[in-house]
Amino acid sequence: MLDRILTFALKNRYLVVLLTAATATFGIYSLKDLPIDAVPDITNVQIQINAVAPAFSPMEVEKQVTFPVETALAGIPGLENTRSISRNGFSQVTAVFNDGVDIYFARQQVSERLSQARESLPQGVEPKMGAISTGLGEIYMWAVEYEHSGGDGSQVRQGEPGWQPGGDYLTPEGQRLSTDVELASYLRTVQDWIIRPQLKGVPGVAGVDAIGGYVKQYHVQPDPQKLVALGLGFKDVADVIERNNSSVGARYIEKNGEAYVVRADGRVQDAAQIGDIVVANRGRSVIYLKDIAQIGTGKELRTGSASENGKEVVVGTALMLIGGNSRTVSEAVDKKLAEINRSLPPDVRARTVLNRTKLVDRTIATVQKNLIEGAILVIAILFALLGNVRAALITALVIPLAMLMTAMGMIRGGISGNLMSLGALDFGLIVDGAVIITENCLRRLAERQYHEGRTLALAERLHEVLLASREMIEPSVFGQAIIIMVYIPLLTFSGVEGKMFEPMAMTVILALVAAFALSLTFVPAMLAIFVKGRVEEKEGRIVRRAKSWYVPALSASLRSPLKLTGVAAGGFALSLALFSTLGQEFTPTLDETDILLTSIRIPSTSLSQSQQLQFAVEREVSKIPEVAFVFSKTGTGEMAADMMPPNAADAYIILKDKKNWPNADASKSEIIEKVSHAVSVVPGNVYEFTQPIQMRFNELIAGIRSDVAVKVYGDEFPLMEKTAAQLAQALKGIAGAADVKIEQTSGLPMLEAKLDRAAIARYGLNVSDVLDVLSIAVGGREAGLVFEGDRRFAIVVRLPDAVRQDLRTLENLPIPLPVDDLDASNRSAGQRHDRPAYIPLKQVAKLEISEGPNQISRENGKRRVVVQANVRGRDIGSFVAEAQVAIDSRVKTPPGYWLEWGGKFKNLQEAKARLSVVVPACFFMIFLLLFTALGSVKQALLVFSGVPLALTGGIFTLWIRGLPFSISAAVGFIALSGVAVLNGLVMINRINQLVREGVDPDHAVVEGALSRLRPVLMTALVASLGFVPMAIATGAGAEVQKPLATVVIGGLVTATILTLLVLPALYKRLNLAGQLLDKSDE
Amino acid sequence: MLIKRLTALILVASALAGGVYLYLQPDKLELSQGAGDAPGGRQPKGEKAEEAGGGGEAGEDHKDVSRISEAAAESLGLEVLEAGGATVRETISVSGRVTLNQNTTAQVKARFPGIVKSVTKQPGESVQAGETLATVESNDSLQVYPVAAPVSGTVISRNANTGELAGTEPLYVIADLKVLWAELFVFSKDGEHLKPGQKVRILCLDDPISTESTISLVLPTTEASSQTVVARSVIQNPDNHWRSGMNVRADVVLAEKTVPLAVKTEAIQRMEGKAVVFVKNADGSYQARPVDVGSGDAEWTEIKSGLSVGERYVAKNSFVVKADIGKAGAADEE
Repeated sequence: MLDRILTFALKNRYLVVLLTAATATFGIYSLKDLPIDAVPDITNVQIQINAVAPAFSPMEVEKQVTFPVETALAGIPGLENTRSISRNGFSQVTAVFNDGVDIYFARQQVSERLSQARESLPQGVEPKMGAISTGLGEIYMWAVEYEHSGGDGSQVRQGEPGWQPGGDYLTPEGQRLSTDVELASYLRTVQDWIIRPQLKGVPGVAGVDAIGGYVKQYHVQPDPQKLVALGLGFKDVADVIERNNSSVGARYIEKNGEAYVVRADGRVQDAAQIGDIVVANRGRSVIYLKDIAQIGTGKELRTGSASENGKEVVVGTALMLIGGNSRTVSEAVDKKLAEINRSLPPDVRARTVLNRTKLVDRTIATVQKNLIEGAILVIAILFALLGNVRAALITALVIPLAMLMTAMGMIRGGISGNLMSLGALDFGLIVDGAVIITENCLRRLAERQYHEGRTLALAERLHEVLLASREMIEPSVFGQAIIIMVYIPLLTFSGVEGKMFEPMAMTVILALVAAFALSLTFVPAMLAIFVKGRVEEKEGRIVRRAKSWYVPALSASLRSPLKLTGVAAGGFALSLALFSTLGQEFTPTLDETDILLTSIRIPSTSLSQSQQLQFAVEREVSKIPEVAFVFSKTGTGEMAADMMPPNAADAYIILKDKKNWPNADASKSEIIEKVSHAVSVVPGNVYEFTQPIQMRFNELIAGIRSDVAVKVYGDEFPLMEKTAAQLAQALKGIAGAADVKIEQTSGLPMLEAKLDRAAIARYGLNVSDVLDVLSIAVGGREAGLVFEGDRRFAIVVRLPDAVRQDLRTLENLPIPLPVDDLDASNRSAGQRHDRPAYIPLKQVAKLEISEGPNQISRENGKRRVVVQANVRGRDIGSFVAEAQVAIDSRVKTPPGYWLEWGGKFKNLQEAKARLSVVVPACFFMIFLLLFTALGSVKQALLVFSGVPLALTGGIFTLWIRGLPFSISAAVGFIALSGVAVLNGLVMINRINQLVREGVDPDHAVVEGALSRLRPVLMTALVASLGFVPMAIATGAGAEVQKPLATVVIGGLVTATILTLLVLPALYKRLNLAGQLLDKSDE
Repeated sequence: MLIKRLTALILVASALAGGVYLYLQPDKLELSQGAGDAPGGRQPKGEKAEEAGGGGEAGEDHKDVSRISEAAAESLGLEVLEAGGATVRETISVSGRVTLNQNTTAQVKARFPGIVKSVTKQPGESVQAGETLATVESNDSLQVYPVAAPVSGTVISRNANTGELAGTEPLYVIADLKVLWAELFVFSKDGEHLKPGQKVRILCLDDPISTESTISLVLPTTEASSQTVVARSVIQNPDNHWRSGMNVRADVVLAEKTVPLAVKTEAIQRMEGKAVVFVKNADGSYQARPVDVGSGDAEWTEIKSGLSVGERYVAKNSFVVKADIGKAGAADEE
């Protein structure tokens, strides 16, 4: 069949070229659709369901919000598992679906279930699905801030919007802002009502999140004593506001043939109007709201705050839609934000603080630079070794063409272009097939020319090209098939690893297939068209020089084959020993340049205190000369997508360009060391360093990061904690256990009102009467909205802040007594003095400070506590076995409680089981391919022996460069094995061919080896030199590609030397030629 | 010979297969999904984990100690004071109402029923004892007799006009406004602690006016439906700031004692369910000291044991020290 394709391609060579050109054009056209990002998206298919229930404690959130939501989700098709966290005021349920489930289908299902669940949720609690985004989604952040804080340096004009003399700020809406809270609230208003609506419309943006400032609220803060004096309750105040803030429409009237729409707007416009609402009539006097309450813009009880370089700001985040192209989307956001900035109030600006484009550009620039430089090197080598510009260019053309075809395949397959997928591409590898075909064609054409003593006619050229290609097809097909085959184990990873390496393997396979197709069709066709005229068998100086070295080396090797084989085997053994000393990491981490510093404080830390500490952290960090600026998010933002408790803060540290550093050569870890040192003076913080994207992935995947985890499922936390403590104890007792940790669930201080139900009954009250007072007075109650144009702000009734914070006042919170009983009893008792119409809270409830659960984690619909441990210095399998025995014998789980084992060891076990089938199967397949190609077990084994020779060099170079072994390096080894086998195949094939042609076996070995010196050298050189830029690159993302390139370069050096020397020697020694002849004789 | 070579070859092949398998063997890889472990980048985390792990076992010595540099302490507003004596007041806050002093309030009635012939005083006017307020013509004797003020004070109300019939209803109410009563409603929870003689500070709801007084009387009965006890105190009203019927707030000092050892109330933090204060050691470190607290008010709290006079403790922003001591535990949580 291949033959037919080849013949067809040569016959219709112009058609083939045109078709290729058409494909390339289409490829270029569709290139813009290729999603490009810095790293592959490793988020699983998941939906977060967030609900905000501000007044609820973790326990209540779990019972009343999380549980109903979780229950409703159960049984959705494709649902893999659910997990949830219930924190103070927040519920987050994460539904993880099987890979491959369509996210929109899943959201549809979840949305259906949620609408059912809504009935059983408390009033006002609205579960919402998170933005349709992934861990890569946070592509753009900006800080909304004042310029010229306080008016310094700006044009201060009395009465004009902007800063005013005296440091106040006058908004374009005519409000005068003087307090910090008012100023911070206005920033949030700008974010919520000017910036957000505009950014939401940018294509590819899934949502806009905001954190920091204060959402503007009108606060009505009645004096509890005055309420008491008037016999009013908080509820009355809220009710009266609601009754005095509404508008109606009354359809229309007709008059003189015209229709008039009737409307009556009774909405309050501002704080003054709220104050003028009448709350009560007492005797002849009218009591206004302003008489009993403070009214004004108040401080929202916020859940999160943001800061930049030690001052309060608002930070907005644009989230990218799933599968989007982060570069284009963040560019679009950037453009839009620049536009928005022009329309912001004076001296308010939205400053970009994080822009993914930069990282992607830097990374892609590195990849691009490496690829282009690699391509140039490849072309140079081709030219130098082939000595024919046209042929070299034709071969080099395969590179862009194969790339375009790969890109098309990637778009089809939904694979994004990133460091991992593009980074593994080696042009040398891609052009290998084309190189050997071109080389052979040239050789044959030159020989024929030499033979005929004239330039060739078209038919002759076609014939020669056909023959040459046909000759090389077999090794080429098998070589490529083998290279593809070795990538297959990468496709069997699952979960995170799968998401990371599948695209890589798929991309390489696509590129190889594309290149292979081209080398069968396009390359011969082009050669036939363009390589006319005199083709000189001009081997070039390099090849001649190489030959002059090769001939004596080969003859020496042929004389004593075992010596060299021994050296090779010894080298291999040594490299295996070295291998065990190499450090290991799963995958090299992309350096995002920005640093993410998470500060964690004790769980009881309040948001304001946390923010104070964060200011201190920022002040310290911004003193470091390498730091451009630092901004932080403390607590949970508006969308509650990232449920950070108030005691934790993420600081994004943006570094200056390297050239502006005092020491431009400082490494990232030195900077981290500096930061770590600087912030260590701020007390009360524990720090963790990550990077923005990395952290987001960690949060979303949220798998257990330790090696071994035991989860305790049950109902009551005290019992679960007890069991967990026993588990931890048992685990600690096992050799190799390290970092044994129990998930912290408690530590949140609570002020609990313990109700005295009997007392409540005695006063003729209902429990809800008491609870209502507490919740309105302390938590606040929304009593309608104030509309300012399109903007709307809530009116909140609650206690003044000073009173809220005073436990004694809270104890005396007045609870109104039922009125009727009061009058009746008064009359019957006939008492002279008035008695109060209320009782203080402490009469019916006891306020107690206690510690409660800080967060409640659930998994698959059940409460759970996790005990985690890492394993050091022994293998995980035996550790788990021992731990299981120890736990079975020593830990008694209460009835109805159960344990589950998890952790990375489970993934490991699964991966191991899978690989232990796949890897041998692959080797068998490769062997089978070789056997088919060569028809001899021995020869197949001989070619196969090129692999360990290649590994030897790869391991040595890794060791020399001090790089750890990682999957990237493993991919290098894979590519390497492919090239080694390909070279061996080319060599053996030629020798076999010569032997079959009847050349004396000894002579055949030498001649075969010599005639294949050029292609072997070429394939090895293009593959290794193509990787040189990658191996020495230092740009963003270089650290991911470095190991791969290093392995290939090093491995090819040994593999080539040994292919050239050992293979012919062993061939001769094992007398394979004789066998071949024997066989053909039969 | 051939067999030997073959064996050698197979050995090489199997070694290579083994080698390749080795590098693909999963447990050789740190699947830490190093979403992670940036070389160097995560190093501090490892250190911290050890710190956190070690913290629990390293013995009590280091557990409750925090080292905060002077500069950091200053920038975070830590304030250190010397523990010593203080006056601790135990107070409760109650609401009440200003009433007329019933002892100096007189309801002036006509001695004999009859027609009011004249009235001389308006509400709000002050009168002296013996001053004539009205004249009444007795129904019986048809004599006009004067009604005199029994006490000095201010006319609170007048229920009579010329020509009206004076019966058993009072014609005038006269009260001495220089001294008023405050009736305080004390709920049963606090009632038992309330005793005559206790100091009380009475505050106006609207204006920043306050006056000191004492509880003069606790009424013997409890009001049935609201279970309140009424306590009375006498307030001096020289400037007429206080008006009868006014709602007031009162802070009653239940107990007042001078204790030899007290700390600022905001210095006290709770750790593991126990009250602690943070003592600053000579070497500049801060140590959590469990204490036994006695009574306290908004400013001072008595320390019964656990601390001695003269020791230096963190009086302000003590939470920062608590957070610093507790931070090892906080790490576990993430």
